[in-house]
Amino acid sequence: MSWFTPAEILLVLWPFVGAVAVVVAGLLQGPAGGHTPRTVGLTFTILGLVTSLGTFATGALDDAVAAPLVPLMALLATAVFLASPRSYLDRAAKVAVLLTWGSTVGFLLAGDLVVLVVFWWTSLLPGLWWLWRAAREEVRLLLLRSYGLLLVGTGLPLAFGTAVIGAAGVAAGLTHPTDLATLAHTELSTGVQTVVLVCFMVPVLIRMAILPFHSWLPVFLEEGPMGLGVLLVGMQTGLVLALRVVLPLLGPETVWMLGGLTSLGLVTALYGSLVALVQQNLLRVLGFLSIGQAGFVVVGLASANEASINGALLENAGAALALSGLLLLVRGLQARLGTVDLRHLGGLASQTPRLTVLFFILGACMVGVPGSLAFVGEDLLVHGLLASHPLPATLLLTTTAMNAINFFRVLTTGFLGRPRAPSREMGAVEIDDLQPREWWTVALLAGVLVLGGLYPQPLLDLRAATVQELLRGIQGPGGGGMEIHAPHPGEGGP
Amino acid sequence: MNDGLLRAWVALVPGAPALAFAVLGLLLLAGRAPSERGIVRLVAGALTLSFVTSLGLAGWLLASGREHAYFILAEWFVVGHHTFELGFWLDSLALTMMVLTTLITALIGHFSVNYLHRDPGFARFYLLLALFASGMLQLVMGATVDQLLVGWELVGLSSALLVGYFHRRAAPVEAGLRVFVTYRICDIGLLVGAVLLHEVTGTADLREAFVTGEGGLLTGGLATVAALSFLLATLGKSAQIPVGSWLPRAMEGPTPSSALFYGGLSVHAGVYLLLRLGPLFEASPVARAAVVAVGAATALHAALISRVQTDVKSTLAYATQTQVGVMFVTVGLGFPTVALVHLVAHASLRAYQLLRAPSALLEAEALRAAGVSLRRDPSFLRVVPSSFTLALYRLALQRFHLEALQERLLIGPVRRLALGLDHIERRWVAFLSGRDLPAEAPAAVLHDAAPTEGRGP
Repeated sequence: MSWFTPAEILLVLWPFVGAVAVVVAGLLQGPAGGHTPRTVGLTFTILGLVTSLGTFATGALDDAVAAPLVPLMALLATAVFLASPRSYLDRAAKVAVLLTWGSTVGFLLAGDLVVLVVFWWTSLLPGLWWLWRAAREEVRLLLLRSYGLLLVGTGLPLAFGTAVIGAAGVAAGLTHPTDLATLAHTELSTGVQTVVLVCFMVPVLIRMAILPFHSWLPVFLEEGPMGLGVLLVGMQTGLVLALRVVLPLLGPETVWMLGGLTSLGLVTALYGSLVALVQQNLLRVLGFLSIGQAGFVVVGLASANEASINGALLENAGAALALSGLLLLVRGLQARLGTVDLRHLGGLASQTPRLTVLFFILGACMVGVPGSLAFVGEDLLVHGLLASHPLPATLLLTTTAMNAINFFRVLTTGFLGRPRAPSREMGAVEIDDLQPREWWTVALLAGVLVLGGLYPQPLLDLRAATVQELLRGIQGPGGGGMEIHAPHPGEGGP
Repeated sequence: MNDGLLRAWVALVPGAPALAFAVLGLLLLAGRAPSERGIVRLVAGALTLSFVTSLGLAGWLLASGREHAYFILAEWFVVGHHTFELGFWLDSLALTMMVLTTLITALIGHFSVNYLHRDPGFARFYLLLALFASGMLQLVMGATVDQLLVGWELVGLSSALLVGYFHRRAAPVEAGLRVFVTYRICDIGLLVGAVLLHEVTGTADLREAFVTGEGGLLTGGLATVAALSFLLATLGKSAQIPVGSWLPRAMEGPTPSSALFYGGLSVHAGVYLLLRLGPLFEASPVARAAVVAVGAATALHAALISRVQTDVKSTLAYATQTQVGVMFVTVGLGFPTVALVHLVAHASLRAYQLLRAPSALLEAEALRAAGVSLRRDPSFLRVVPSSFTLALYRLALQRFHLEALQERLLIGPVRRLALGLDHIERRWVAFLSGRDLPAEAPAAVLHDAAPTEGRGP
């Protein structure tokens, strides 16, 4: 049975210790407030980031899917502590961010299905706690209901699916029936396998905000806490669940389900990019763009060939990082202006050139401008998709065009043109540009996206063996079931 | 010549402006903007170096009697059987375009020094100029269709950003958005065509796909689908019917960028693509007929509209559309060499005319003040019945209602669909919250950028 290694235990526990330290620092400080809890939290996130990078660089993390995500999670938590406006990161929010970080790392590193499901639940609980405690009265019910759907809609099927797998394993005489390493070899009848797959697919779809389970995400980004929003958008635990559980469980008899996933992903990609076109609130724009990108990723996964899965992973990393950075910027803008409604924005480039430049770079990275990580992801994904689904590939290209148009629309409406007053009462207002801590944090995210786009091969090599292993499992012993991208005669180029 | 040296030499042509872009971009990001002189030394110097290198390369290849040079420099990324290669294929077409590109960009780089002196966007202009030069050179020199795509996108992005250069005014910003929207919609054609080409021929290498035929050539219906997809891409970049209405609006950018993009290079990228993919279009009579039809319709349409324009940049924009339409016809009829000569001559002349436009206006004012009549009667209209002339005049003023048709047939339905979906979304969220959410007014997307009939750019 796969238990946590000492290094992994340290990585999981560290944020929890940080949360306790923040609480203690707050209590010692008293009601007067100050910077101490933030400094404590920031220290823990930075040290956690360094530790994660160290364990990743030394190869101490086994799972190729999760290994790069652990430092990424630490990076996102650090970014939240560094770049959040002070008013958006009260003590409760700090603790919620740290607890979510720790639980998510636990989820990523779990070697057993039961542990994985427990950490999935605990990664969502801090959000519920924050909403219960700190959400504005007028939106609390909405947030609690939509977030509750996320929590219950994912938690119950996961628990049921895990129980079925456990029971089937015990009946078959397995010592550790829920060990993730042996999941692919678990013998299940086709009917049970279908039920289990549905139980795990539904949480994947809900967490990734795939149609029709998508509505919680724009609501949460618009009205929910900033830090948790960044972590939810930036870390696609749904994708990890799909890669570590759903795809290994697929066999030649159940591979037909991928067709449904492709359709759902495609519809979601089209829906997200289309509805984003008519949003006025920047946070909702980001929410629907995130939904569209998730659809894109699901299509790549469900196409189930080497290029498409690698493309989906890079696309996900690129879009998630870019959206997280954009979210930090937009929330920073909201803290300065009191609104991020495009009808009240305009000409921000004159007053906030640094913010505008970073918004442009991150937006360009999100829509896959050449040289960004998402460009590589899209290139691979579309080539892979075309090998198995030519028509959806064409439709998917339409969504990339719409996303790019949407990004440029937001840029031109909100940041260029004549300055507009945020509200009639306020008149023209002077706003500050990004502070150095905000600038360097978001610039770091942008730098990762550009460097990853210019030199993506190490990331691709890291997961090559895992992806091939997944594909072998889906194909089955006979290699049938899915059409895998076949080399053409004389193929040497892309 | 040593092979390694030759590779370095070729790589320097697009590499010099790319390096200038990276250096200037990083300096600006770090808040250490160089002086105007420093910027000019860096960017105009890189463009000049690129020109000198390209000229030397073309001369050397011609002198050595080599018909073309081809090599793969590196692999950007590899996944299974999928490889994104970076390389160059320099045949007579690419060499011609390479020298033309480096010449015009270098000239514009030096011309703009005085034109944009003390302009707040001086550094931004040169940054985008370097990006454009690098992208355009990728486009014309690239060995693979994927690389061509990268160049194509960089050209489009820099073009749209330079249209909105004067970003404190509404009109340039709206024009920039319109340009970008048109480009992105039409770029779907390039993406589909590129993927089709790769999947059917088994290679993204242009030489392999069209010359050596190692992977099997595109034929029949697939050739037509791929060619028509590429044609869609060329319509956007070269401002052809029915999507060419962005071109006059694009003149909102500074004059040097108008000369560079819409007189000199960017607007000819579509013609270049048709020439580069010549064998594909030869395999599809339907696609060739479409190219001729589009080109002829655009030439006629733009020629008529240009006659009712009252400002010099709009007149030049429509004149450009007319000539590019003629190039499309020439290519479609199977005269690629004539089209290439036309392209080079037209790009040179039109860039010059646009750069000269402000001075020419002053000179015209002086001549009028001196009592010299500059009016010329359009002689061809004498053979057209007067009632028909009047109808044509009205239609030309309204730009043949093409923009209204775009709004009605494409933009309007998309917007209505998006708003309908958004309405359903909001009702669901209102149900969740147990109360009615305030409805949002329709977004300005595509609406603000929608044209006003008869309005000048």
